[in-house]
Amino acid sequence: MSRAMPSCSHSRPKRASPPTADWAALPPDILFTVFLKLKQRDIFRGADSVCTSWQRVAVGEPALWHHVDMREISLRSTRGLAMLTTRMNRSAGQCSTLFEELPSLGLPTNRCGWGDQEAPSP
Amino acid sequence: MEVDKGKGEAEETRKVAEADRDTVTLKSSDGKLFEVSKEAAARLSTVLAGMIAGGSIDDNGTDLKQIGSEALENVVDYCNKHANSIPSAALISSSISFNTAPFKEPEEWERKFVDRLSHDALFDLVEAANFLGMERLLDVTCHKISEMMKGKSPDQIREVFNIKNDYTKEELEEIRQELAWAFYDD
Repeated sequence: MSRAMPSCSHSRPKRASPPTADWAALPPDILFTVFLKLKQRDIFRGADSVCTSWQRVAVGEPALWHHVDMREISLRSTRGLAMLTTRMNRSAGQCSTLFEELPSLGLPTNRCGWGDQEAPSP
Repeated sequence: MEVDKGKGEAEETRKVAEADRDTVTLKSSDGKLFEVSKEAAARLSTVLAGMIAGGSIDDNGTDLKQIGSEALENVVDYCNKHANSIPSAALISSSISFNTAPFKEPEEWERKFVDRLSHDALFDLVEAANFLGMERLLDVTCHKISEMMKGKSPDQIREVFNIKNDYTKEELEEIRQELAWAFYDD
């Protein structure tokens, strides 16, 4: 039991030994970079509610929610509107870009700045 | 070969030699020494670039107390492989996520490089890359970590990363209600 840990100088995977890394304690700036590489849907469905420290990053980083990919959202359903609302809330009012055409809203371009301009009245 | 020289002379000779060297020696937290191409280190790590430019590289091994030998070996390995690789045509990701700035997908060798790592080694490497300001290595390791999360439920992610669910029942219920819409398929 009290045997000293063998020093490890090889880069081979050590699959045999139990993992020791504390992924819940991954520094927030690294986790933020990881989240930036995920689709927002993947964050909502997975990473968001893994543990409290991960959730703090997912919810507390407005930059993750600055952009909304409208291809993930259907505005014809209440679910779609709920998705959009959550994202916009998390963006702390900085949701500045919407991608894709929004024919159902009659918006002329595939980008509309909601950050600097007044948001359309609800 | 600095066997029978006077101490001062040997020191002098070594200093001159070090200045001309095209490698730098890095020392891990557990005292192991690694040599890495000076050019690659300066190009790939903003921290090492700063140390080289500022002359704070120690000839006997620059102390990197935050990085263990396994992670440092991987860092050095990555730098050396990077120095030897021929960059392929930029494979700009079409859309990994709309949040990202254009991200050059990992090269085949970079993929293999991170794929062979244990979870622990990946964890240590991403922290080392972050500490050393190695933007590309950080990108590649974070990309790998994100792939381990893609399409997975919270339970599956906890299992992959061996994370404890530390929510109270009430908190979980709150999340479930807030994000209820996220768990239905289109």
